[in-house]
Amino acid sequence: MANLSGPEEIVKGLKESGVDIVSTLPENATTKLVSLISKEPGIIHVPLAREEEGFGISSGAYLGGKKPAMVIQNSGFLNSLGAITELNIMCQIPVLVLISHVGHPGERYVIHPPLARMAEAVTKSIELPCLLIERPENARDVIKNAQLLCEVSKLPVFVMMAPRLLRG
Amino acid sequence: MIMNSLDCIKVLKPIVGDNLLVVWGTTKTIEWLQVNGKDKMNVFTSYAMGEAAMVGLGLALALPHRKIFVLDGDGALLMNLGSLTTLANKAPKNLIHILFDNASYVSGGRLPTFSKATDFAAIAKAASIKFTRTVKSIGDFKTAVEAAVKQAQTAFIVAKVAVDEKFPPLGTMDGLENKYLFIRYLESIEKKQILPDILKR
Ligand SMILES: Cc1ncc(C[n+]2csc(CCOP(=O)(O)OP(=O)(O)O)c2C)c(N)n1
Ligand SMILES: [Mg+2]
Repeated sequence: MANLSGPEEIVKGLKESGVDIVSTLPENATTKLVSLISKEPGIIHVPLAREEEGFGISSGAYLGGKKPAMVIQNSGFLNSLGAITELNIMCQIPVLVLISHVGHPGERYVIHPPLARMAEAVTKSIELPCLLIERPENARDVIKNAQLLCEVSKLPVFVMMAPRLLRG
Repeated sequence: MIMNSLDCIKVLKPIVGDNLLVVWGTTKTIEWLQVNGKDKMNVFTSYAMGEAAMVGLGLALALPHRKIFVLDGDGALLMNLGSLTTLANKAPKNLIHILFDNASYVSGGRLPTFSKATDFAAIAKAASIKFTRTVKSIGDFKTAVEAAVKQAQTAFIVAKVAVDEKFPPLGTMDGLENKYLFIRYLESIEKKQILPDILKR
């Protein structure tokens, strides 16, 4: 059992992976995670106006020697496919993308299921790895493995975070 | 006579020196390589339209001791105007964003953009970027860039340029080759390893 909450375990995973710059666009489920990241020493926090910008910022940061990550909603991943294609895939630039997976089974918002379905379909069709975290006790390990996979594959790795993981 | 971007790039070359450049768009990259050669790959092309300033922001945050020059196009910036607010919010002291405004999608077939009526510098100012200039002559371009380099805040310079007569050929370098050449050049001037040796951890 993890003693820490989901968001705290996620931040530990990022720190232990050496992530040092995180671009974010918050929403209900990620409020706590984004606040923690914004206060974390050793992490440069870059708030976004639109998620696609984060793939540009992360690419520049990687070229400059940083380890970038992002925190966005699955809707924002769908907003970002141009930059993912022309920067990350074309140039093989890794970024760890933590995605608030609203519409995941167990959720109650009627507007979210299409986002979850479409985001899952798109990650499959672009053939990039997509991991899932549902419980705090798995969060740290999944994030560390995902970051390692990012670095060895030199491609984005998506980590879907179940909304219930993010509460607390 | 209205200036062209190639003349601006000739002015930029000595000013850029060991600092880094990030460019959007095939035309400007090719013009940069035409003037600077390929030996020192200090330019990275973001083919993702509208992301040049964001790639520049990431580089500027990663390398605060170097100046980062972003060379952008009007069509590309129109695609992501909101990014000026993201840039202004972090306001890195070492980023100079130069917009070559030819009021046209030149590398995309030369039809006009609607930027003739757009005051990009006013938009940047309203986004809270304090150093903004709009220039129409080579002399004013040089003065503006030199002033931008001397001060320590994000700068945004709109260079009103002509629609290029000829479209330069694209060349054979793709994004992947550009990435490696750029990182290797950076490793050599930074004297540090950027691509990690993962097995050694
Ligand atoms: C998302 C996207 N839409 C459309 C294009 C096609 N396209 C390639 S170059 C270009 C025009 C770029 O214009 P601008 O940024 O003003 O640069 P210029 O060539 O005029 O210097 C367009 C529309 C593209 N590359 N990406
Ligand atoms: Mg143009």
